Amino acid sequence: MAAIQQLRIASAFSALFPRLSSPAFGFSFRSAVLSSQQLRHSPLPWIPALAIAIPSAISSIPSLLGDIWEGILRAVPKKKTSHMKKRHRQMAGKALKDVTNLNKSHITDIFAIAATPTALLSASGSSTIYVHATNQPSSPLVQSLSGAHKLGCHHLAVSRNGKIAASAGFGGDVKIWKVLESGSGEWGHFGELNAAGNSGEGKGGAGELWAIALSEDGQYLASTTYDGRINVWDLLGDRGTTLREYETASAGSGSFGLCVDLSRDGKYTASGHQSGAVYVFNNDTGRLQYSLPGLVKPVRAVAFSPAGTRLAAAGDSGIIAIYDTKHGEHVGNLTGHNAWITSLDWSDTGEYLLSGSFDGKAKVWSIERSACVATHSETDKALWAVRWLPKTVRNEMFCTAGANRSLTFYREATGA
Amino acid sequence: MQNPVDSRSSASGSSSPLLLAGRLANPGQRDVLLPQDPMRNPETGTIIARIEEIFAASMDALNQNRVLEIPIRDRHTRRVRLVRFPSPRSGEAKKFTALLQILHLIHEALVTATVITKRGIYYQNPELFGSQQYVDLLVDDLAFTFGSGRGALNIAADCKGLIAGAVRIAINNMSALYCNADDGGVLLPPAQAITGVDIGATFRGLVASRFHENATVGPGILITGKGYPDLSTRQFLHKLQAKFPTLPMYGLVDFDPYGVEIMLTYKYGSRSLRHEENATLNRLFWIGPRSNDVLGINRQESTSTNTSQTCLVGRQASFSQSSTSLPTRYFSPVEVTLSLTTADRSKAVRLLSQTLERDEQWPEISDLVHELQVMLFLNIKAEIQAVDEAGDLTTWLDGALTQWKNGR
Repeated sequence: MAAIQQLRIASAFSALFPRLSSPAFGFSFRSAVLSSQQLRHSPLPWIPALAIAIPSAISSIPSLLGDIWEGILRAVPKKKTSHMKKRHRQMAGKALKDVTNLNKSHITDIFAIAATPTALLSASGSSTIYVHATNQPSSPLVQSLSGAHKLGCHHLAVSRNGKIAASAGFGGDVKIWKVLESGSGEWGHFGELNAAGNSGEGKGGAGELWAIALSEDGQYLASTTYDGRINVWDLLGDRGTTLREYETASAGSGSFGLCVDLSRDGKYTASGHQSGAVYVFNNDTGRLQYSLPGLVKPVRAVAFSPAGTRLAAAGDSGIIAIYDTKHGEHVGNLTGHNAWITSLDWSDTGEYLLSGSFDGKAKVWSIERSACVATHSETDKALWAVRWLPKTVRNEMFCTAGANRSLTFYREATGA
Repeated sequence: MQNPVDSRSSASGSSSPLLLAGRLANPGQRDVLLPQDPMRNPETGTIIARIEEIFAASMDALNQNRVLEIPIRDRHTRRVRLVRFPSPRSGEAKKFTALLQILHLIHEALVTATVITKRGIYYQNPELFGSQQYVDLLVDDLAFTFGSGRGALNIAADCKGLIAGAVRIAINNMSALYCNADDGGVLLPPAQAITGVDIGATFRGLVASRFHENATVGPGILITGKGYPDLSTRQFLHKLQAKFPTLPMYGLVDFDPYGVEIMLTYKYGSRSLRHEENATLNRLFWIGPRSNDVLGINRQESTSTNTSQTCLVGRQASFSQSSTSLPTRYFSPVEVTLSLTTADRSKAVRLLSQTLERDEQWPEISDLVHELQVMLFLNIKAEIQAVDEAGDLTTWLDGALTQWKNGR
């Protein structure tokens, strides 16, 4: 009880003084915008709003409030480093940012991105899916999968091994892609998912698909439907038939499945719904494992930690809820976003969680400290997708994309 | 259709708005002349008499404990058939009741010299009539029985368009008053904006606040088709557009697939009446509310230019009132949005597909695609009321119109 009380106070505190709570923890994670690839034909040149990405700077509080703010800051006991000192350090910034403008481009919002060890796939309101090589400097565009989805594409998923990808279009069409055997790293069409066919349990079509997720090797695909059903498909088997079909309510009355994820070991499927419900299903038994409480408002992102021990869920409540997958317990909340959270992604090690929100902010959270360690906002337009790039030799990198129609790459700037 | 009476009805220039409704909303207004008193229709007396005859016969039948009858001439066989009550067939009993109610309404309309609409009749008792088609059928049967046109019964087809604003309309015949301005010349004082409004209630609110006179961008005209606009309203607007090619026109509709479809109906015409010409508005702009308005991005932008580095934007509004003069009202999008239904989603997908299939290059086509995609992606919709402030839409509308005027 006391713990809950404390939690409440803590969250209320951070909600009131979001700037105070996170510097108090201090942070070692700093990241810099590596490059922002501007992918839009625009009548006016797009000018990056900021040259340096400074997490949690207070430089921009309206002048009138500045004094009040300073007063509040002084009134609060400080730990280790003063806020001003910290800010100066950040301002001194070692961060660099390159902006690369590409001509081949997304001319509409980028709704989804997905990262393989060597490439970043991006999908937008246009019919083309773009592939950028992230293993080359400035991440050049290497392939355009044109005509992929006539009405635009809203979800993308890639398998961890980087061999299989899936994309879902606004017309309800789901396409599967595969890296060609030639070794060129190019993607080729690998068929479609026949959602209109009969389901394994003979209940008629699976309904129109929305969110999708792929298993580690790309053999299994999990999907949600408008009416709240969750399906698991075997992409190497009969694609017209679901392997598993989970109902979250009586037929046709389920809440819209906004997001879905598969655990790396393929054992669990998690789904987030319009109603705020989060479900975890056991793929081995084909049963509902947990119905997780807590968010009330629409859940727009669910993500299993790499080890599969934690599940993060977030959405319109602006809170990231962390659940323990072993016992289905709610183990904590990450608070600090002031807008709808649209996307979540765990770093490769599971140390950090990346989140993107509707007001254009990307945040990096330390799971260990249960705190936000960096906030980035290159744009005030909505972020629709944020993804870590699989760790290579260098530092951790991530990419954000959304309503500003560009891909922005960030690189962790280690060392203070 | 009747002998053209020279009847230039005119509102006095820019100051007094003319309201065109199902019937003239403000008949007492100076300068507005009714071209023709409905009572003067020579048939009117006859029809009233015949209806009263039917009523009297029914009263007699009741008194004498006989079966009630209404004679109806069949439009196919051209023979008179009696609709009886009570009747062994339930359909006949229903038909009798419906006919009696319609006769009553027609009588009322004829006696008071007002005009009713078929839609109006339906809404008198939707449960009884069941469908609009049923009413249409009976009305046409009655007109046929009385050997007169539907107009002579003072029943207009479907005129639901409403207009308010500094506009003077010269009309040649009676029917023109009922949103059918085919033969009417249209004269406008320098007005600068037209807003098509999709919902009647919103329209009334705007008229009540005299938005058409007080808008910051200058006086304008407000027009509503109350939902999907009928042909007359669209033809009227088309005429207006043809006559005043520089008059900007804006569409104000709900942020949902139906709102978008209504806007597209104004712009491109309806599917079922595609053969109708002169009913499109290629210069209509969709003013919104759009996803940005509904989701509060615009509001945030207004304050976030100098706060983009902080987490404060969301709550900025509560602070910023002291530091900026911008009218800000913080709300979370959740409060004003609803989730899409399955029907909404399939309609949105259909509209998206139709829009992308259009070959013509409409400049805002990508805007439209974007809005539909965001609607689907977030699974949200919102009504116009989402952007008002305690029922007052004018602040938002002023802002939006100014933005458009300055070349959005």
